[in-house]
Formats: sequence, C-alpha cells, structure tokens
Amino acid sequence: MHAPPVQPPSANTAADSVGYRSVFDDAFLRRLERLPFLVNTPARGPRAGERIHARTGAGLEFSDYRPYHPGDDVRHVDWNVSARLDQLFLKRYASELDTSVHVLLDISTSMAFGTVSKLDYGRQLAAALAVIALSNRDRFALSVFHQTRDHALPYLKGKHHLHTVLRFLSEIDTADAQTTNPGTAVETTTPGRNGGGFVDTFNEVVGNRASPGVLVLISDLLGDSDIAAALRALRSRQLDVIVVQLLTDEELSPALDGVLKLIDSETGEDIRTTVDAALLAQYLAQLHAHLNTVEATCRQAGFRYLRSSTSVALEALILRDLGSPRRRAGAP
Amino acid sequence: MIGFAQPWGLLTLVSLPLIILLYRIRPKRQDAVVSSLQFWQQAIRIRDRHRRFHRVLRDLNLLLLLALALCLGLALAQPHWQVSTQASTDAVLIIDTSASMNTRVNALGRTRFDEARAKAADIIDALPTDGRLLIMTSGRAPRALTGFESDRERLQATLRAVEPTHEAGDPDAAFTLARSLLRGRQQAQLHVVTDGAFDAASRFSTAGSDIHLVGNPQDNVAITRFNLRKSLHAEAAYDAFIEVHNFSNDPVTAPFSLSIDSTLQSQQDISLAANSATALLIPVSTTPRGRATAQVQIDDALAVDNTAWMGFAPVFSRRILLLTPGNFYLETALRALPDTRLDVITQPEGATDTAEQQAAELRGYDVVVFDRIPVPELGRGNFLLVDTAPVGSPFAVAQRGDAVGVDGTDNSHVMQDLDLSQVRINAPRLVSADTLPGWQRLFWTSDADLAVRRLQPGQRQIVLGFDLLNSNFPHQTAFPLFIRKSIEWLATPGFSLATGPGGDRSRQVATGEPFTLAFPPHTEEVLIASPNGDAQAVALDAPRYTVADTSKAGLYQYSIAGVRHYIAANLTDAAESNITRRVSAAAATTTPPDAQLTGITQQPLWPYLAWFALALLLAEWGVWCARRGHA
Repeated sequence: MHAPPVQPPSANTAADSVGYRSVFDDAFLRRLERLPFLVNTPARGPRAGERIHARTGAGLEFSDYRPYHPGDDVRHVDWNVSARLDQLFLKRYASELDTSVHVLLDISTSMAFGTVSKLDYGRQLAAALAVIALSNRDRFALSVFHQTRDHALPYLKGKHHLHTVLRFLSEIDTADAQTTNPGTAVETTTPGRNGGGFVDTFNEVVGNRASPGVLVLISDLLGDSDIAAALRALRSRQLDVIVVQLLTDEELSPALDGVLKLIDSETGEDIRTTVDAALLAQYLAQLHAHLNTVEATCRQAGFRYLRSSTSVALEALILRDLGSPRRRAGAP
Repeated sequence: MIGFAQPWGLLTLVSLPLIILLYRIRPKRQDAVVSSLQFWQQAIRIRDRHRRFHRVLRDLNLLLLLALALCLGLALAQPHWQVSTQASTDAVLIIDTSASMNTRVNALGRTRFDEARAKAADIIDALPTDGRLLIMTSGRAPRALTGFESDRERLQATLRAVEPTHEAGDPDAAFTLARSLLRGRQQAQLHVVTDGAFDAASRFSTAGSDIHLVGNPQDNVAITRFNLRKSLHAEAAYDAFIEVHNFSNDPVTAPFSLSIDSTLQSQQDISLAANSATALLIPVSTTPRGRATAQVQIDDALAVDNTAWMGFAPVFSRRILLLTPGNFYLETALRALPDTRLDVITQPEGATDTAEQQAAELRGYDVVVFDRIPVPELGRGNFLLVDTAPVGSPFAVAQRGDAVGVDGTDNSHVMQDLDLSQVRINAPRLVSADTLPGWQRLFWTSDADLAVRRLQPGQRQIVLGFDLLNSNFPHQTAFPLFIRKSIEWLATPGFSLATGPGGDRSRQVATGEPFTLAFPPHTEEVLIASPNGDAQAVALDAPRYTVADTSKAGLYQYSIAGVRHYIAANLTDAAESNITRRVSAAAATTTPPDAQLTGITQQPLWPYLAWFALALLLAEWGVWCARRGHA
C-alpha cells in the first residue's frame, strides 16, 4: 500500500456517459432490490425511513395499546377501546426510521491485482450495497481510500442517487487523480496520514464522517503493518462494522514454480528466488496466519468478517453471505 | 618436495573456473507479479532458515567437484614426492694417509698425521649421542676401516691403529666413496682430516665437506722419477735416469748418490733452484742384477721421497724344456725367445719314459713342450703339447681328418695380430673344445678345433692338434709370434721369473700398487720381506702370488733357489711430494649439499590422487543424492 494508488473518480467525467448498467445486469439489480437488507440492526437514523423501529413514535403503523397516564397526549386515546373496556387506553404506533450505510472501499494498488481484480470486485460489491441501501430508502455513503488520500461520496438517499454512486465507482480507476467530482465527491487529505496507514483514515471516517449505522469495509487488508490496530479504530458503539476481505485466487493458491523474479505490484520491489513446493507451503502458512489474525481481530472487535475470493460470483457473496445476517463468515 | 613427471597435465586445472562458471549459471528468471511481497519475504526467510543444510550441501557439492577436478588434474601431471630414503645423523671421517702426511711438523718428529689423528679423535668425541661414524683412509685407494659405528671406544681404537702410508693420495676416490656411503642419509656429514696437499680443483671438489686441515708449510726435496734403461752406446751398459724436484721456495744444494747392487755408482752434489726440478742421467757400467738405490741426502720435512729403489730381474730366468724327436722349426722359435734358456731332449717319436723319470725331468722348468711325444698324466706346470695329448685325454682317440685350412681364430692375446689364412694342415686331429669342459679354442676349421688351451689352478696347457711338420704353419710369419705369445701366456704375465714390464729389467711399482709374482710351477712356499723388515711366509696354491700391501716405500724381497729377488715400491709422485697446502679451509662448506649426500627417491603420488578422486566422486554422488532428497 505504498505505491501510487488506483486513481479516484474523475470529477469531469460525464455522468451519463457511464451507466451502471454496464456494471450490473438487470436481473442482478432486480434480485438486489428484493433482498432484505443485510443487517438486522435496528435503524438509528434521525430521519423517517421505510424501516420500522422498535421504538414507538410518530409512525403510521399501529404498534400496541397501553393504559393512559396523566399527562399523555389525549389525542392518542382510542375511544372505542376505552368505551368498551371502561378504561382509557392510548394507541401506540411504531416509529418508521431510516439507517445509514457507509462503505469504505480500499483502492490501493494491491487491489488492482488479480485476473479478476479485487478493485473491480470491490467496486461491484460497493455498487450492490448502494443499490440495496438506496432501494430501501436508507442513506448511503461511499469512501474510497488509499495510503495518503481518500475520496468520499456523502450520504445520499433515494434511488435516484444510484447513478451518482455508480458513476463514482466506475470512475475510480480513471487516470486523472488531480480533479475532484464537482457534484458530490469530496477529496480529503487526512492530517497525519503519512505513515499512519489505515488507522488515520478509519479514525477520520468513524469520528467525523460516518453516521450511526452500518460500516462496510472492503479491502484486501494486505500490506499495512498493523492491520489489527487499524481495524480496532473502526470500533464504535453506533456502528455495525462488516469487514469484507477480498483476495484473488492468485494470492490464495499461487500457480508459481521455478526460478522467478517476484515483483511487488505496489512497490515494484522484486525478489529473486526459486519457487518450489516448500516455499509455496511457507507462503500459504504465512498468508493464512495473517488472515486468521485479521479474522480474530474482527471477532474481538464485534465485527462481522467475510473473506471472499474474487472468483466467487458476486451474486453468491451478496445473496448467501451478506443476505443472511447471522451467517457465519468464513473462507470463500 | 613435489615434482611433476608430466607438467602438461596441470593444464586440466583450467576446468576449475569452468566448473565454478557452470555452477553459477542459472536459468533465466521469469517475472511474476504478486500483490505483495510481504508473505513471500517471510516465507523465503523461513524456508532459507530451514534450508541452510541444503545450501551447505550445494556448496559441498561444488567443493567436492572442484576437489575432484583438482585431484584428476594433479594425477594427470603424475606428481611425485621427493623424499629422502633414510634419515640419520651419520657421518664419514676421511683421514688422509697419503705420503705427505708423513711430513714432520716440528723438530720432535711429530708428523702431520699425528695432528690429523688428534683432530680425528676430537671429531669422534664430538659426535652426537645418536651419531654414527664411519672411518676411512684416503691413500692410493680409499679404504673403509669401520662400518657406521656408534661405539666411541671402538672408533678410537680403530683410529689409533691407522698409520700413514707412503702412497700418493687419491682424494677424489675417497670423496666419491664417502658420498656414496652417505647417499640416502639426511643430516649426513663428511669430515676430512688432511694436510690439503692435493689439487683443490680436482674432478670432485671438496664442496660439501667439513675440511679439517693440519700441518704447516714445510720445504721438501724429492726424487720424483727413477728409471734404468739399456744404454744406446754399449751392449752391456745401462743408463740411470733420476729426476729430483725442489718444492721449497729456497734453492737447495744436497749430495746425491746412486748405488747398484751395493756398489756406489755415482755421488755428487746437486743444486736446485726454488720450486724447480733437475734430471740426472747417470751411466751404469755394470749389469744390474739385484737392486739399485738413488738417494738425496737432505734432512727435509718428508723423508720418504728422498730415496728411490729399483729391483732387477735375474738374467736367465725362463727355462723351457723341449721334448721332441726333432723339430727344427719349433726349436728355432723357442731359442729365439729373449731371456730364455732352452733345454732340448730328443726322443724317438712315440718313446716313453717312466713316470718318475718324466716327473724329475719336468721339475724346475717354466714351460715343457711335448712334440709328438706321448705325454704322461700332467701335474702342476705349464705345457705346450704339439700333436700329442696326455694319457686318457680325449685327444688321444680323436680321429684324423683331411687337409684343412684355418677358418677362424680366437681374439685373445695369444691369437691377436696373427694371420693364419694361408695355413694348410694335413691330417689334423679333429677335436672339439665344446665337448671338453674348461678348454678354450684358439683356432679352428669348419669341422673341428685345431688348437685349444686350458687354464687350471697350478696348470696351463696349450694343445696343437696337428703335426707342425705336416703343415705349412712353420713357414708362416705368424709361427714364431704364435710360439712367443703362447710361451708368454704359459709363463704368466706380471713379474714373472723372466722379465719385468716393458721388457727391461727394472722391477718397480708405485707405492700402494699391488704386484703379482710368478714362481716355478713346483714352488710351494715363499718368504716375502717388506721394506720395514717384516717377513711373511706364503703358501702357494698356484705358481703366482699377488702382494697387495705395498703401502711402504722400499724393496720387497723374496728368494727362489737361493737367488734373491727384489721388487721396488717408490713414491716418485711429484704431486704427492709437493707438500704445499693447496686446499684452503674456506673452500670447504660446513654443510653438505642435500643433493650430494641425501638419497632422493621419487615416490609417485598419482595412484593416491586417483583413489582420492574416486572417493570424492562417490562422496559427490552421495551429497547430490542427499541434496535431492532434502529438496
């Protein structure tokens, strides 16, 4: 994560020239719209939405009755029931509130690695989450980040913002990194990011940018020397954090053999070595040790942890893993 | 030290860098982009930590291959290890016993040899504890008196028994023998105790020897030559030739005298300039019969060369008996021999005497010639048999053949320079020396031998298998020469009873030179007296005796039939009489060169290298298998 990052979306890109239908087909979108949302956490959003909160309030949907107490608003007295039972009862309604979904997408160089790149896969996953959230009238925000910079799409609500999100995502890998999106994208340089890695970005997002709700982190979680500390920075009482760690098949089972010059896709560094079965075994042992550390850190922090290969169909990941709220995260 | 028999084999060592080069060649690396090197670095670190042994095996593989190539390359060069065959602290002590060592060094009569003996004793005392010493003398011929001996007492006793000789020294021979004795011995030392009165630029230098010089510069006058010859002016007159040498740096005048058979022939004063020589030719009016003495009467440092002696052979000393029915040619040829007294007994052909008569007749003759006379069984003596053979010999029954010529001759001294190509022989006895053990043929036809000879202890024979009168051999010029050479061979060379070497009458040898005496065939014992008066009785198994010890100058005497015979032994050697030191101590090194005193053997090393290379090959194969299994 120390190499030049994948370029953030360009501000000058014509919004209509890139449609999200080039990314998702219609059948997939229809299935997404029918999905129950991925979390069962009660909505905590301050604005009215389509999700019924357990807290009674000013919603339209009847919840239950309770005896009248002095001081209650007499307008909520159900006179029919009171007359029948000869006691005053108040009619209660469920509060209808929205929720916030904030997606953090890693666009560091290592995310571009793979036959099916992790960035593409993560971009599609973020788009899918946006479709789901906006279809359910939830608020959706998107932040892409790399080592020193991040770009954020502020909270949006309503399906009509979906194309904004998709356009933002489709422009992530465009080359012009110096421009900002004139509409909604905001470029932020996090103070003290130099050398801070993910920790500063995550602190910024949790402390200032994310509303209470769901935070989905999409990253390969490679390269940063202290991934555990970075993940712990996401802990917040108001956030349900879902960590989606994306890996490619080339990383999970590299098909390397012989005398090679291994080149780091991020830094360009290289190692000259002979790859044999012993080295592959050691590599896999190191990789899985790292993955286990990440997973254990997530468990300890109360995060949901999902690990997926980019070879897994995106539909399967969303419908099977993210669609089932309490499904246990596991290996792809 | 290592040497190489085939140095070109070392060229194969260029394979060493080639092996290293081949080992360093790696397949071309292919680029492989990975998302992160993080886990690869860790994996490589751990793998390499676990594979140190593998790397060691790989390096060991290379080292073994290099060692293998090195061994093979060296083996092809056929190296050999030059080693000394023996290591010891042995030494050889050469003590000079030549005549010059008799030189007086002071008025008390102490000689150079006395000093040399004292110095040699010091050398013996200074021997290391495990040191061994061999004592040898350097006279006319070197003589080893001991083996390599570590017993100091025995060495000292041997040294005390050594006496100087009157011989001319031959240091080269002594050095050669000493070095041959020290060859193959490390830390060997060669001590030479000498007066240095010999040529330092001799064929074998004194380098590599510890030279211990004794003596001091002294003056010397010497008789360096003494001969007697028949005078050219008178039949019975002789001339004595004497050369006197002054080796001092001052002129010398000294009386000189020459005596023959106790008669003073000449007495005069001779004057010699410094480092000069003079020759005296003195006529002798009498026929010398016994001995002569030439003397320079001077009291110089070396006395032995002030006198020279000479013995003379008796005038009529060879006696030949001819038994023949009559043979003009043979008798004439025998009478023509010089210094020969011939007795002829004419017997009818085929007549025989009794054995006792014949034995009595034969006794006292140097050679007995049987011409067509039956021969009894022969005892000691020298015999020439013409067309006859002893009783019982194969010649008696041999058949006679037709007329023949001479087809071949022996190349011995008897037949040398004889031309027998015109000789025709009628009815020879056809005998064969091949069937007669001990006989040697002199000349022969294609069918058989015509003349043979035999040498046995106490007896010599020459047999002619044909009648001289029935051939043209006596008419040939080769006949008298054949008779003379036959008689000379039969009557024994050397100091025979007849003449001395060269045909003159003088009988002298150089001191240290052995001489052989010939006696009448029936002589059984003789008494030989040395110059210092010691007499030695010698029992004779053969009619000759060799006197080996002539180390003292003077007259050696013996008597036969009441006649006294003299043999002179003289130094008469100018180099030896020059008692001036010609070798300096500085010319000699104190450490013998290893190449001269140490035996160097070349032990081939290539078989060991080949075996070692085979072992390396097996080890390399084993390591390769282990490395492969470990991988």
